Amino acid sequence: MNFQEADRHYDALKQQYRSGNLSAEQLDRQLKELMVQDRDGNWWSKHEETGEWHYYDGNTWVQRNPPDDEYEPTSSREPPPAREQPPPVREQPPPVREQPRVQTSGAGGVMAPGAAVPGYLLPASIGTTLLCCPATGIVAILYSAQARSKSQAGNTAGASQAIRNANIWLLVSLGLGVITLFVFWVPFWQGFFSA
Amino acid sequence: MRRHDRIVSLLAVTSGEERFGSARHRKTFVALGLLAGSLIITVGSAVLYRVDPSESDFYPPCPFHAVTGLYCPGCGTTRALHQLLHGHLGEAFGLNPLMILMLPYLGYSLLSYVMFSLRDRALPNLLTSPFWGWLAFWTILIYGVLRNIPYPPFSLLAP
Repeated sequence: MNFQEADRHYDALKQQYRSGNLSAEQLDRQLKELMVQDRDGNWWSKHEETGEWHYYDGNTWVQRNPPDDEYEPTSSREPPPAREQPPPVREQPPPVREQPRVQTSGAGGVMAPGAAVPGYLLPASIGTTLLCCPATGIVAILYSAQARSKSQAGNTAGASQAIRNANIWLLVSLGLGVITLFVFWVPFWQGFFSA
Repeated sequence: MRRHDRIVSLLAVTSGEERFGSARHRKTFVALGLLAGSLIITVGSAVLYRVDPSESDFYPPCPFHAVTGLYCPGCGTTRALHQLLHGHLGEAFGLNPLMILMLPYLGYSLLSYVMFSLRDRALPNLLTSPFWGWLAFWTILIYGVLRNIPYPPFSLLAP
C-alpha cells in the first residue's frame, strides 16, 4: 500500500465510523494495521484522530510529512525489504497525551467507553420511506443495509460507496417529500390565494 | 467530488469540528435544528390531533397512490398517527401495522442521534448487525407488495 491508498483508506474508515457503521474498536483495530513503508524501509502510520502521518524512528513515532517524491503512486511494487517485521503497534505519540486513550466523538467531546457513533442511515432511510417518499426511500434502505454489511465484512471501499449512495437517495427522498408537500397541497394553495 | 461529499455528509452532523470549526458551532447548529424540528412536530401534532385525515381533504395527497393506485409501505401513516394521538392503538395498528411497530425503533434512533450530537453521549447501539438492515429492507419491500393483494389475510395489512 502506498501513501495515497492509505489516505483514501483512512478517509473511508473514518466515514464509516461517522455514519455509525463501524464501532470504535473496529476503527481502532483497522487504523492500527494501516501502515506504509517508504523506500528506505521506514514504517509510517497515520494518527487515529488527526490523520497526521508519523514515522517510526526505531524508538517512537515522530510526526512528519511523508517524502514528497513518495507521495505519488509508485509504479513498481517493491519486495518486502530485509527489514524485520513492522514495529509493535504504537501507543499515542509521546508529547500529545499521557492519559489513557479515551473514546472521542471527533468533536472534542468525550464519549462513554465502548459507545460508538449511532448509525443514522438505516433509521433515517426507514423513516423517510414510511413517511415521505417510498419509491426512492426503499433504495436508500437498500444502500444503508449494504453499507452495514460491507462495513462488517471489511470491504472499506465498497462500504464508502454504499454510504455515499445511501446519503444521496436519502436526500433525494427528503427533497421529493418536501416538494410533494408544497406542490400538491391544494387546500394550502387555495387558502394562500384566497387570503 | 469534494463539494458533493460536503453536501451529502451535511446529514452527518456528528462529524465534528471539520465541518463547523468548533464543537460549540456544531452544537449550536444541532440545537437550532432541534428547535426547528420540535416546532414543526408540535404544530404538526396539534393539527393532526384536531383534523382526522380519514374525514378531511386537508392533508396533501400521496403522489404514489394518485399515480399508481397502489398502497405504498407508508400508506395510512398519517391516519395511524392521528389514531395514536387519540390513544386508539388498535385502530392505529389496523391502518399501518409495520409503521406502528417501527415507531419505537425510530424514536430510539432519533433520541440517540440527538443526544450524541448535543452531549457526545450515545445510547447503546441496538440491532446493529447487517442482519437487521437486510431484514428491514426485505420486510418493507414485501410488506409494500403484500398490502396490495385484495384478499385476506393480506388485506389486513392495507389501511
